[in-house]
Amino acid sequence: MIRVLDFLESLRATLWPRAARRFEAAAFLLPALLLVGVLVLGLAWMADASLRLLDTETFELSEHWTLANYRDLLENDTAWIVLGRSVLGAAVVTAVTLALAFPYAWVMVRTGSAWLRKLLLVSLFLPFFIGQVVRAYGWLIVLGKEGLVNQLLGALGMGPFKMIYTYGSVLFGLVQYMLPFAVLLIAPAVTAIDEEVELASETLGAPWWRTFLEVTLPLARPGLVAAAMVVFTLALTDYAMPVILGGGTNDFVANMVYDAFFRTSDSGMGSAVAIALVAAATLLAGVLLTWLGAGTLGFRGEAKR
Amino acid sequence: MKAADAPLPVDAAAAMVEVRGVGKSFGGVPAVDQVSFTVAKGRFLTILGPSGSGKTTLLRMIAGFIEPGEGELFIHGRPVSAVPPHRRSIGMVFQRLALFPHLTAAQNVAYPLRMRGFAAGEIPGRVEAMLKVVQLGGLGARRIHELSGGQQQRVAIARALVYQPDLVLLDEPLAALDRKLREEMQLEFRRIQQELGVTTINVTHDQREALVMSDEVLVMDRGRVQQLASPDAAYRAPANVFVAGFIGVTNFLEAVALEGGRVRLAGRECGCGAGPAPLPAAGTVLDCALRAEHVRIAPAGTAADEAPLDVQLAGVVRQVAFEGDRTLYEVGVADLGNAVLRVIDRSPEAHLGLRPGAVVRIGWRARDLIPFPR
Repeated sequence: MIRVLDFLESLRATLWPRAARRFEAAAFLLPALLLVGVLVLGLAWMADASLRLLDTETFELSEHWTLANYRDLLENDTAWIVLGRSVLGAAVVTAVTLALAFPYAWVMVRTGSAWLRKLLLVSLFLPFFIGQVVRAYGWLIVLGKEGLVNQLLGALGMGPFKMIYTYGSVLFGLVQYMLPFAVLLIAPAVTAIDEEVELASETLGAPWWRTFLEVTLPLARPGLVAAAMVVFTLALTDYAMPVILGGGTNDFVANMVYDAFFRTSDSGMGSAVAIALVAAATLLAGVLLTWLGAGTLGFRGEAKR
Repeated sequence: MKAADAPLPVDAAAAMVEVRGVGKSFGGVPAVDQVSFTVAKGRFLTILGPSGSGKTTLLRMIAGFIEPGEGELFIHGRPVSAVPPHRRSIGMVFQRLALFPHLTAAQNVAYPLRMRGFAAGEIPGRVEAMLKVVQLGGLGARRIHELSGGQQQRVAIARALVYQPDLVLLDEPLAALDRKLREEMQLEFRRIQQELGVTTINVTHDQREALVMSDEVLVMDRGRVQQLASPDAAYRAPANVFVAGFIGVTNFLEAVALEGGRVRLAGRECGCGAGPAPLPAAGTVLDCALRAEHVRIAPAGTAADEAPLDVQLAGVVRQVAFEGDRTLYEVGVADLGNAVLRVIDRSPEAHLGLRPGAVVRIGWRARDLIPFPR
């Protein structure tokens, strides 16, 4: 066995000389770079397509570049409404998700009961196994006109209420979808807070709510920032929830991209919307990052002591 | 919120802290059992004990993190069992310091003042003055991670003292420091404590720290108080075998009580010192404590020690541990049934030639043999 390993080692030394070793680290980056490269190529292709106008006679894109698609988009009121709805929706979803995820993560980390911790962890991961689309359809069954909730309310003599195909149902579905991501990003930040620091705050005269505001929350900030970034960008660019729970009445930007590509077959316009979405999301993420720091997504987590 | 700052019904004669019959069990096992003691204003008490002795549980009950299962605690004459930690007038320095990493040193020290409703205008002045007391003047703007370990200790001490609490609790805050810095901080804290006259309860397993820092030492074992005495008395007149063994390096020898305040030790009759109780009836078995530094050692055949020794025996060196300012010997003594005695020699240069196997004379004065009835 040792001899085989020695042989392999010497083989390696001839095939991969010492001088090449300093490129080893870089070599590990190659697969990732390839993936990102493909993404960049796709973006470049879309940027190119977005500058070409659809000829409605031949259904082909124009040969020359033009800003017509972007101009149309800027003048299109519906586009602005959809963008506003997406940004507002993402903001609301982020706020609600963080408000729900923080206590969840806190209890999961701090509970003395191993049983409760496991239960919370399993409940967190269970939805991951189901997938977004199936879950969305599940909510249709639960919240639909003839759904479980309305049946229960009906038995009590109330309703039926219209709960699906509304903005609220889309946001509800998104919050439910985002919760595990947020909890998993916040939990490490809560773990990093030394419980003694909270006890110290108490002995120094702070009631629990001031300890929470002045100590726990600021120390958990890296986790909250990371969760906010991830939830906001995922919600802003989501496709399935608006389609299934919004039923076409509450489209987000991604649905507009889909419609342009596959309903009107206008890949020029579709690309323009997609590029606009990428630009908006990048801009907002950039603003958040500069303003709040990278949180636990960065290498210098502030929770470190 | 302001309850802690409100003037309290002060009974001038009352102790600053009174612990009355306090006990606490975890899962049916008593961690603290019927503990009572008082601490007078301005005094420094150290609770000394091995891990698992219940000292930390006791401190946490005084702080208010744990509710006593039985008994009552009084701070400044007021029963506090039902008072949450943030309304007790205490300052605590934690084992891991528990400084706020997101705040500067000055903000850390200002925190309790803000929480306790001090006027915003007087906070910076108080913080600056306190930082001066702990010799951190000018470093207030530093973040916690920009300070050295010793400086962080000082910030933690300043934070616990700045609002002039009735009582300061130390939860082994010095344990993590290296020895030199720890000994420096022990003296430093003692200086600050005396300067401000603040009543202090310290918890430690380090007997040296307890002896150096305290006015009084409360020795605990298995949840019970073993002795409450001045450091001097705890060392010189231990109340029982546990205290005798826990403080200092101590040998225990089995003996039998005789008439006239004498004992029989391994077949020979000898005198003994005063124990915590009068010697029991002749024939009773005793444990006799003999501190390692009270045993003299000299190479066999040399002139007698300058001090008159009441008991002298021959022995063979088994182990030698040179510690710089002292040497610790383990000596096998045939006359004591081959018992191994630990001997501390304070003048190492005198007997540098002693190696394992060397034949030596050992001896002690009768009064240093302290008898404890079983």
